[in-house]
Amino acid sequence: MLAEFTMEELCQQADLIVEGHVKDTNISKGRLIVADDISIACSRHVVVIDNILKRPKYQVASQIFVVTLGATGDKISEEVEGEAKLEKGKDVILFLSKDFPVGQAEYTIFGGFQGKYAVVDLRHDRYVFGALVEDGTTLKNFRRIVKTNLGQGTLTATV
Amino acid sequence: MPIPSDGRKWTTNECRIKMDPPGLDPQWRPTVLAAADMWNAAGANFRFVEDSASSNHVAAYDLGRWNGWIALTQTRPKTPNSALTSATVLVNLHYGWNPSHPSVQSSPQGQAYDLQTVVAHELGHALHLGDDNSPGSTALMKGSIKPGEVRNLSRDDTSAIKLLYP
Repeated sequence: MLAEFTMEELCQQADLIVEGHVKDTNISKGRLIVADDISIACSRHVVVIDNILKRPKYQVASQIFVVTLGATGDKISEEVEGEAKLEKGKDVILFLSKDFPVGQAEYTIFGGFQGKYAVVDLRHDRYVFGALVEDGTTLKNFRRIVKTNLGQGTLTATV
Repeated sequence: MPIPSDGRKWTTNECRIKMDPPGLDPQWRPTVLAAADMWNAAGANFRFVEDSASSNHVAAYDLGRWNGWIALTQTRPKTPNSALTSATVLVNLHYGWNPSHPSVQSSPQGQAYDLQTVVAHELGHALHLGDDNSPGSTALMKGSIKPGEVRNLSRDDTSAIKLLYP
């Protein structure tokens, strides 16, 4: 179960916020040791970054690995309820962190399902869908919402 | 209410669970038992039974901020269509809890997560129920929670458990 975040908390607490494209997905990452006898299977996804909405102080590569909890395959079905799910070929906005022990170019999704948004082309515009946005929010407006919550702009009308 | 489609469930219609492993304060036992009893009273053909010899347990560790994960459940085996034989519920002591835990710095009442609600949610996952993140959901199985929020089983929760364990 996840802490319930507001968009402001998500923006403030994520280390990195990116727009990108899921190039490859569900690459086995091995197991994340959580505590004593508890470990969780993880998956690794390749995301090509198109735009950075929140940039950390360190350098970010143009292509990153995103690690998610859970793994699914022929002989394994270890889904972690609440974790964000990435699909190959999809455009996404991701709120990322390095909260889990991951490698240099690897990130995890902050807030689980609350930290991943689908970007979809509809009616000559691009729209954003996800847990903390109203249906009908355009990409342009979503960027404005993120900027406002980061203290970088003024929020105007939504939709 | 989503029921995962991989066909896994407990075929014994009960899950024996240990309530006193390291990390779980003895003062939390009544709250964890109350969470189990929420499901036991749902009218399904399934029961959580306390058993100090069981390897299924509710554990508590400080995992740090961990992307906002306040608790997590793991079930075994992982292979689709298998009978579940093991479950571990993990409570993250990085966050404040009500009732409080002696190893966690106490947080204002409004900042603490309700242990009974969260453990009951995780025990729902131990039963192999999924999250219900539909807009406006008030289900116990909604996947996120605010500090201080208390939830009971909704009609959807009860229907799901009865469907999975008729």
